[in-house]
Amino acid sequence: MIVADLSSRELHSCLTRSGIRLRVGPIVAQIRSPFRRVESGIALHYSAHEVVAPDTFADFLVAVDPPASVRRWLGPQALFRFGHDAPFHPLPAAQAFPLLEWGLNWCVTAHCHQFLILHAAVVERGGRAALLPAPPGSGKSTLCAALVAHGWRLLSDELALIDLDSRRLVPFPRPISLKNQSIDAIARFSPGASMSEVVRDTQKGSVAHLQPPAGSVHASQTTALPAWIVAPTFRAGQRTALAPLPQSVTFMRLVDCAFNYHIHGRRGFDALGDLVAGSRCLDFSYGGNLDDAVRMFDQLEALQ
Amino acid sequence: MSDRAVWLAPAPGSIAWRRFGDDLVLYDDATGCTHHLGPLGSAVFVALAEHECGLELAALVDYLSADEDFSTAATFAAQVERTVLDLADLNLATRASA
Repeated sequence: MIVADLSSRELHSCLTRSGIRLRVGPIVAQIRSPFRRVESGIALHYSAHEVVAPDTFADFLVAVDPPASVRRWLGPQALFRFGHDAPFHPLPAAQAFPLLEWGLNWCVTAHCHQFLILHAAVVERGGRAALLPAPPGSGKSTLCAALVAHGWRLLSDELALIDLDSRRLVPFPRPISLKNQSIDAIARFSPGASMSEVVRDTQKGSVAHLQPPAGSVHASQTTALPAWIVAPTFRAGQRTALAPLPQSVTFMRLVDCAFNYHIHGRRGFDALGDLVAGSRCLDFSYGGNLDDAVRMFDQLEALQ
Repeated sequence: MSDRAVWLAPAPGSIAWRRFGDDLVLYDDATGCTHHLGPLGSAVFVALAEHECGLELAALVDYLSADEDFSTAATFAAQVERTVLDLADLNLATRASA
């Protein structure tokens, strides 16, 4: 069963009672929340995700609840809960769904150490994956959204999960988080895309989420072989260009983008070394022309 | 600095490294640090690793000078010395009495 098979009443009932258990790539998350914003966010963005049986093991038990403090009377707030813990301060209730997404990111980066985890988007075509490592503000999610709209399979827009044994990239398809100008840019580039309403005044500015394609979600148990490491840099107005990036420089950039490299020690070093050695490493500059950007990515296969 | 001292690489096995072109990236088990060495740093490190008994600075300079990629300029010895001192700061080389 997938989320889209549930009626809105059934989804509401699951979310407000024991919670709904969703398979998201390699993990199962139990999510509970009384917020309508969370409910509508899950109905839209997780519509193609599998709902697993209540007795299936859940890696994470999370909730987005109103906080218990008197502060809630001054302005509605949402608090992310991880089991019995509340690892973050509450946020305005309007941010309940983004808070769930940020909380799930934290769950994975803080706990899923069976993977080497990089701050990177991953897309795939023809069985070969492009890894897009970048610090925030590099245009990574915008580029990822444009590529996915152009037919690349989404593995992740935020967290690259590297299997330490197979060296393959493990899909973790979830809503693509767009911020500020990239929201309008993707709405123009892909007018048919299903996007949430814009949530303003978050710590990251205005945020909207883009629904992951159902095909990417259905293929979420199919890992991909890394073939390209493309480090994007967005600067308004600059020309779209791909240029070789030295492998040693790429390696150090991946170290900088890793969440848990330090935990894996030499095993992580070896995995990153294999990843870099087996991939074409490129620097990608773009200035907002997404048509040019996706055309250039279409040429990657010729470079391999 | 006396040339009667020898420079040694860390104990075999304590550092993992990977060559990418002329550069090396290294992982130090003892510190958990990852380092990126350019061509000269890489050449110095590999030279020390290949000479388990260590190399005096002059011998290290002679050894590296045989590589046509490196300058034979008068300043080369000073560059090598600075590089080996930088490696020592990173715990990637140690100085011992000859």
